[in-house]
Amino acid sequence: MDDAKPATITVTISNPNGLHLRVGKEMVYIANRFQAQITAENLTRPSPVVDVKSILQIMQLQARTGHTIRISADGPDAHAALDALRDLLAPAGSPA
Amino acid sequence: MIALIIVSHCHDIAEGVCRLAGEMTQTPVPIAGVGGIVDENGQRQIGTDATAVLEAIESCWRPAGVLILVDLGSAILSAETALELLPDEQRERCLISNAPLVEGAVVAALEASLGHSLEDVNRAAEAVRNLDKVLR
Repeated sequence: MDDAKPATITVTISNPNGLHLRVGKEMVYIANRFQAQITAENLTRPSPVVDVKSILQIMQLQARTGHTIRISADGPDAHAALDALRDLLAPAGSPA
Repeated sequence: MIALIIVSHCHDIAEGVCRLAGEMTQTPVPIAGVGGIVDENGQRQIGTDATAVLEAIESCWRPAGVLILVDLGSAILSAETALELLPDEQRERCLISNAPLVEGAVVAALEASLGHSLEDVNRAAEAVRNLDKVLR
């Protein structure tokens, strides 16, 4: 895997409360562990492309249960960053 | 690590905002709430008290700085009075934020927990003002 290339994942929000403040907070702390630039966009409702390292911007996704989020990362540790965010938002064994 | 002071006219708002902001931290951030006044009968009333703000700043003091988030009106005046009562070297590391109280405190607590500077934390908190709550 070439970590130098931009990478993208899509995840569907399964939490019944949607992408709420506490999950947003965890996303920010995870994202800040990585050098990569990490952005997200809500594909289900019109949203800006937001910086995942900012709680304020993540809240702008206004993602409810069932919404699909596209997360992109660009930087030396992009893939590791996306893996960590996927583990948070859509852990293995959870409904897709 | 900076400290946060929450100043509201209402004791319960100050305490509640502290609790909410505290939820956003990963490493403990000093956060103190100052709200309301106590009348001559010992009853809590709506209002702000510069002395209480000063005591909160002193008890939470961090060399990295103290960000003061206020609701409105006399909360700002009380915060200003409290700063005037501080020694110069402490006052220089205190900042009254233009951020709205609730959103600003949530953002500031998280940014402070990341170890960001007083100026950077305030910048992130004040950026709240430019965001719509509802996407239309």
